[in-house]
Amino acid sequence: MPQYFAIIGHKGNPIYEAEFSIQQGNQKNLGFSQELKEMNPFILHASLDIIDDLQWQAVPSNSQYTNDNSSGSGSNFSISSTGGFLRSKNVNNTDNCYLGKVDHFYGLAITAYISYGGMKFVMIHGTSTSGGSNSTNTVVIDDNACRSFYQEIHELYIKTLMNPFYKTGDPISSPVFDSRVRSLARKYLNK
Amino acid sequence: MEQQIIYPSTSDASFKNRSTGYEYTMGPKPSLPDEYMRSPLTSKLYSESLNTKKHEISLSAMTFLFQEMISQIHKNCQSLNDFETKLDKYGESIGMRLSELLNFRSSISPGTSSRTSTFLSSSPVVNTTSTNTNTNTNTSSSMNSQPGNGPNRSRANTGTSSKDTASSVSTKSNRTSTDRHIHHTQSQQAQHTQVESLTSQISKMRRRDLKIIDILQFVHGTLWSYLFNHVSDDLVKSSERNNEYMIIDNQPPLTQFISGSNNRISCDYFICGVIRGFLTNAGFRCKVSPHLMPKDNWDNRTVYLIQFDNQVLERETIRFGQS
Amino acid sequence: MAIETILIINKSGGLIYQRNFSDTFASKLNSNDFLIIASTIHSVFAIASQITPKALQITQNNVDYVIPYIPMVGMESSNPQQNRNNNLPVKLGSFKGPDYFKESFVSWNKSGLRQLNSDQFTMYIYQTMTGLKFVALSSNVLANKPASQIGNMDKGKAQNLASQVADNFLRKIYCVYCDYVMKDPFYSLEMPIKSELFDKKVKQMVGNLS
Repeated sequence: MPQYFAIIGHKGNPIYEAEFSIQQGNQKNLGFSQELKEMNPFILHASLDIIDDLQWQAVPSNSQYTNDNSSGSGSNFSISSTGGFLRSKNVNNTDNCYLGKVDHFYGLAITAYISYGGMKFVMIHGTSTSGGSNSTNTVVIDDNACRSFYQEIHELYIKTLMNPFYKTGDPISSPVFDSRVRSLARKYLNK
Repeated sequence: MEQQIIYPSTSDASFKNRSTGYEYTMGPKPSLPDEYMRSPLTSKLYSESLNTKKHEISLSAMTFLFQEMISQIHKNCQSLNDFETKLDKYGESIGMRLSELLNFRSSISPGTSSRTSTFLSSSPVVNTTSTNTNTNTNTSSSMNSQPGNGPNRSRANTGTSSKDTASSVSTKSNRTSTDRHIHHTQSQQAQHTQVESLTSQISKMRRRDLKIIDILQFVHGTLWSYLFNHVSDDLVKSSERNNEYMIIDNQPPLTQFISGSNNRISCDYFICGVIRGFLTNAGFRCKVSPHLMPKDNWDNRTVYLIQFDNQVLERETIRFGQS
Repeated sequence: MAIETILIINKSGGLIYQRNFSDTFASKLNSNDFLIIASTIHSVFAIASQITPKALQITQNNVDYVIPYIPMVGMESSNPQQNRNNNLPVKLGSFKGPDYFKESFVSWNKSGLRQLNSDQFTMYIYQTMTGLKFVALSSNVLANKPASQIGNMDKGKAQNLASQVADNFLRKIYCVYCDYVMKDPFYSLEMPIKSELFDKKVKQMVGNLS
């Protein structure tokens, strides 16, 4: 299962991006296919609107869906309900940092996490075999592993922020950060 | 050519001239085959724990640092407005960092480690022996993390040889926590990476604050205890205007030695910057300004007036209007 | 001990702070006179350190320069314990405790003038490590007092006590100076002190003393 991970800043500007894939021996096809690789940023950014909306939802979950419908009929609510509807079931409702699955795109699942400072951590979960043959199969997301992964990234991000030479919203270019993120991805995502 | 690229998800023009973060010509760096063999790189910044270690820093050291900061800005600015904006900017970057850090720290479940907030330490007088040991460790750590503090501390001490200058004002210097783990060897450090990560201690992340009143409570309580070791003296909502809230400090410790009420109030823009950075980063755009309002025998009583943007209020009515 | 005037003289002999607390001197002297007094004290002080007798200089290591701590000189008489119970923070600066300091201290003024007695006034000088001088003029005249007024105490002993109290007091003024003058970003070194806060604090302390 390859993943494409990015941190998005306040203005929709990307701060960090990485692609995780397992490459064992001669099996070269475990990553994203070439055309999908180029599409990844677009797919990811397309889900930002939903995340933006979920960010300010009191209880970003399915239960809110019905409440929203009864309370108002603005365009905001229609989006938010879509977001709520798409989310995976076993999300802990009291935790509004981890949003769980927020969107999907032809079998690719997109999960998101919002930090306290409004940084959006977004990830595309791909299927293990590339191409369009089984793109209808939806990816199953292990929410607990995913949440732990995001929390670890969050902690790493805060550590980056503690660097006095790092300015909020700048791209993170530290190789240490990169290697830490990759080892976390190995630990939690590609078991 | 570079500037002609269309960024699909932003309409903000100011962003276009900045570095993008995407290597758009190459795409993200894929995982390398031999990565499994490698242990992750280590650096001091990422090996340190984000956990709180209770630090107290000398008020003298802090005010000397603050004084130097103000005279630097004062030297390089044309007008009062300029001065206040610059000071506000200084505070803002601190506030932005704190909004991530303090929230994350409060997520740590209380049983596993020492608590973040130290509400109102009851005894303002620390006995001499414990303070001395405290001072020593503090100096060695702040020498590494913030070079400005070390010299200032010694300067404060030479002036008043035998006096105990440490005080109970904890400040930003413990933002980068001590480097206890740094002296370990590489192999030990690999072991420590598990311990240093706080995520294992977190069972549930603290909820992000979505309402104005929630986040102001956090500023009033946790932020204030982190900065000044006590909660702020009052949190008031303006009765006249909907978007105005006030945080009140009876005796702002940082500016207490500055004479002339007009000078002092300008210097309070630093704390305003911290508040503004904190709120803005958390998604509550606002303006903050200090006002001197003496009451009873508090001559320096300062009111930090927070004026939220309309968008914040609109969002609040849309999202939570019914409740 | 009623303090009439407090002067602060910088290390080059310039008067940087002068405040009268009663009309005794103020009516007779103008600011120019005080400037002259300041530089005179400064030079006399320098001369005094030069004319210390050789014999005294040799035996100097026997002299005890430790000044005992006298509690609550120039502080409010209210109980500090009570203050804390009322949850009012003790309104001090960066010096901890209700009385700024608690130990005896060694005088830095080892070779110069410490006390000047006359028929009209007594002058006490406290010199700091950096050469700053804090001068207090007191209207109490110990030299002329008949023995009966001092009671059983020896005249020399009383004088000694007065000088110790003055040293303790001036040291506290120095503490206040460290806080409210040195930590004011708008103060430039060696220049006259214009801080209202410092002024207020000094006035308060002098008021508490009498």
